[in-house]
Parts: sequence; structure tokens; C-alpha cells
Amino acid sequence: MSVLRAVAAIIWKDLRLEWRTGEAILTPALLALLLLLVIVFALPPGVARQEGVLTASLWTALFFAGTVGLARTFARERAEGRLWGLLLAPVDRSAVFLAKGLAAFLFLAVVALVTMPAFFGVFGQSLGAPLWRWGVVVGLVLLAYAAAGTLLSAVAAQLRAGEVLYPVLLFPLLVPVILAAVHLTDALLTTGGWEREGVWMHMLILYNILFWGVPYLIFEYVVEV
Amino acid sequence: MRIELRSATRRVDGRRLLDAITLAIDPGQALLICGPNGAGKSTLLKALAGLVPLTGGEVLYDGKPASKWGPALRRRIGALFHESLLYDELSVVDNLLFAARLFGLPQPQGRVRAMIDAAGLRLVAREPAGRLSRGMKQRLALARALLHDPDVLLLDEPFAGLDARWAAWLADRLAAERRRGASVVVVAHEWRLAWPLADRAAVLVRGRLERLLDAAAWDVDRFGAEYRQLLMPAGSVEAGAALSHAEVAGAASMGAALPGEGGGP
Repeated sequence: MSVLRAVAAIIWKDLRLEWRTGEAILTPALLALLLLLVIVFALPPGVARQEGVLTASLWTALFFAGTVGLARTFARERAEGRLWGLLLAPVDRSAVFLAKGLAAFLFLAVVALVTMPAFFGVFGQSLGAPLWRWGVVVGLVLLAYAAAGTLLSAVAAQLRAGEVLYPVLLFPLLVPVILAAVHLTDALLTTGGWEREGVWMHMLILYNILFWGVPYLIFEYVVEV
Repeated sequence: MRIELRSATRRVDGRRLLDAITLAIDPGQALLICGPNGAGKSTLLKALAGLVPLTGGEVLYDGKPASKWGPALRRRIGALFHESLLYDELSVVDNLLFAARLFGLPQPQGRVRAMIDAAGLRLVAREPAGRLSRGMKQRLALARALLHDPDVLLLDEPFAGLDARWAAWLADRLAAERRRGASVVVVAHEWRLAWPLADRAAVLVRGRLERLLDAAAWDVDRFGAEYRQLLMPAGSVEAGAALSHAEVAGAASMGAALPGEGGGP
């Protein structure tokens, strides 16, 4: 109960901070839309509606834009010793990871909700699958992204050049998630389901279990000075 | 709550930040810790708070090693460090509400309101913490540390930035906390302000506990001279370099002569 209370308190605090700064939603959402523009301008005429272009563009923009907010997850807590404040809370310190990860997921989900319609509109594609299936796939991808991104943000916040190194360290870690996102999105667009790419769905679920479970267990040591 | 340090040692890259420190603080007692920059004062506070691990020795609370207490111990600790622990973008109210919720206080709104009034922050309650003056921000940080009525108060430079009125308020508040049974550990460069509060005073130099004395048995001038002697032994260039301007000024105003001014310790 106390863990849930602390998780709720940290998420509430992050939402208040986001309302004041716009670092984790507004900036990444604008960047994703700008990336969409760049991609549209860069593609030769007629290519935009070809198979696979929407998938590649969508995930490229979401993953790159997402790092802007994710990198700040723990960097923001480093200033003014705020991380000490969180670690002094009378709860298991893993609650801090859980809360920061869930807040990061919420922010990524809002960015995706805001920007995805623009991608479908620009590339002239219909959903091709029921909305709930899109919700499951995008939700699992963003959950995995948030877990890995939050863990790495906690590690990077302890390093001198952590914010610079962050994307370089993050993307190799995300390769399985990116592959799963691309395969499953293509399956949704072409077949209306993910059954054809069941192996990627299983991999995505496994990745989530691993990247939420292991950091939750070891977070105390991750933030230890 | 009784706090006990047994041979508390912390080494980082071969440097001894804390060197086999042994001392105890009884419930309701206040310990003043002074020492030059880099003496290990802040590290000691963070080790007491469980924020930095010891590489040797142990910290005990009520006779039980801190490592065995788990999160329940943190419910009983209130801390103020050099860093404010505050979110500049959040308002005064939101900063305290967040802390109250994190600590699971019942009726957090009422508790926060009372603390804002006590710290004289009512007029700026909706202002972002980043827009407060240095003194107001310090009061907010103190309010955060005191919010959950902790049994142990770990305060790093609590008087920094406070004017005379609010320094007196803090002294009164800490006296009240001690009467309630809270153990208080104060790290202070400007140790004269904290001296009247202290039951005992510890002098840390290069991570070592050089003196632990009964404050009641020492008057402030005598301690000033002793402190200065510890920091500036005759002919010690290294110790002289470690003595900060603030400490020189503090020692000088206590009547202790400065090197080259005749009549050194």
C-alpha cells in the first residue's frame, strides 16, 4: 500500500512538473511532428504511400523524439539533490523506479496519441486493424521503451556526460523493441492482426517483463553512490 | 531515537572521507558538527541518512543496525542538505504536498498549511520555489524536513540564508523538537549560531573525529580557541589552506588571533 501511495505521489509530482515545463510531452510531440515534416520533404514523390514507409517514419520519429523527454527523467532529479529527497521516502526504493517509469510511459503515450493521427493523415493510410489492437501494440512498445529509458536515465544521471551519452547507450538496448514495433505495425497494417508476427509479440512481452522486473529488483544498487 | 556510530568509515578511491568515527547521540540531544571544508561533515550526515553506504563500521538506531531497519527508519528521519531537495518549478504548496504524500501523512493539506504558516511562507504559498529569496527557500527546505515530525533531524547548515528573526525561529523550533524527544545533528560552518542548541560538539578534520566535547562544559570563546587550534596547528600550511574564510572570520570574531596577527594559539 505504501509503495502504491509513493508511486502515486511521484507520478502526481511529475505531472505537475510537466504542466509547468512541458519537457516530457510538448517538446517531444513537437519534435516528432517536425521529424514527420523532414521525412515527408526528404522522400521522393510517390514513395510516401508505399508499404513500410509509414511504419519506418512513425517509429523513427517516436523513438527519437521520446529520448528528449526520457533523458530528463532522472537528470531532473539530480538537480538540487532531489533524488536524495526521493530516496529518503519511507518506502522500498524500487517504488521510485516504478513511478518514474510509469510517468515516462504516460508522457510517451500522450506524445503518441497526439502525433500518430498526423502520420496516418500525411501518409494517407487507414488503421487497418481495430483500435484496441493498435492500443496493445503501441502500449507494449512504449512500456518497453519507458522501462529501458528510465533505467538508463537513472544510470546516465550518475555519469558526468550522462545526458550526451544517453541516446548512444539507449538505442542499442532498444534494438529488439524497435524490431518488434516495426514487424507488429506492419502486420497490423497489412493483415489487421499480429498473429503473423506472434514471435515478436512474445519477444515484446518478455522484454517488458525483463526491463520492468530486473530494474525493480536492483534499483537500490543502481542509484547507490 | 538513539543514534550510534561505530567505527563509521567511508573510503572512495583510496581517500578516507570518514575515518573510524565512533559517537552516540541520545534521544532529545543535539550534536553540533564543525570542521573545515572537505572534513566529511556532509558525508557523515548522508551516511546517517542512509544515502551513502559506509565501507566500514556501522550506524545503529535504537541499537539496531540501520541496514536492518528498512524503509521504516526513513519515516523517522528529517533531513536538510546543502542541496534544497526542492523543485524550483513547483509552488511552495506543491513542494510540501509532494513531501507529505511521499511520507504518507494523514490529512496532508492541513499539515502543509500549518507548516507554511509556521515558516512564514503564506504570502508566497503559490509562488514557484525557484522564485523565492535565499532565506525563504531555506525556510521551505526546513519546513520540508520538519513536516513529518521526525525523530531524527539531520541538518546541514540550517541557519544559512536566515536573517536574525528566522534564525531565532529555527533555534526555538529545534529546541521544541528536542523537548519532543527528537535527536538533532547540526552541521554548521557558522557554528556560533548553533552553539546554544548543542549538548555536544564534534570537530571533524579530514574525516577524523578530532574532538567530541560536552558543550555545556565549554563556553563559546574557549571552544573558539580550541577549534582554531585544531584547524591551524602551528606551522601547518596544509591545515591553513583547509581553513576557509568563513572559519577564519568566525574564529577571529571569537577572539582567537589569526596567524601573523600575534598571539597565535
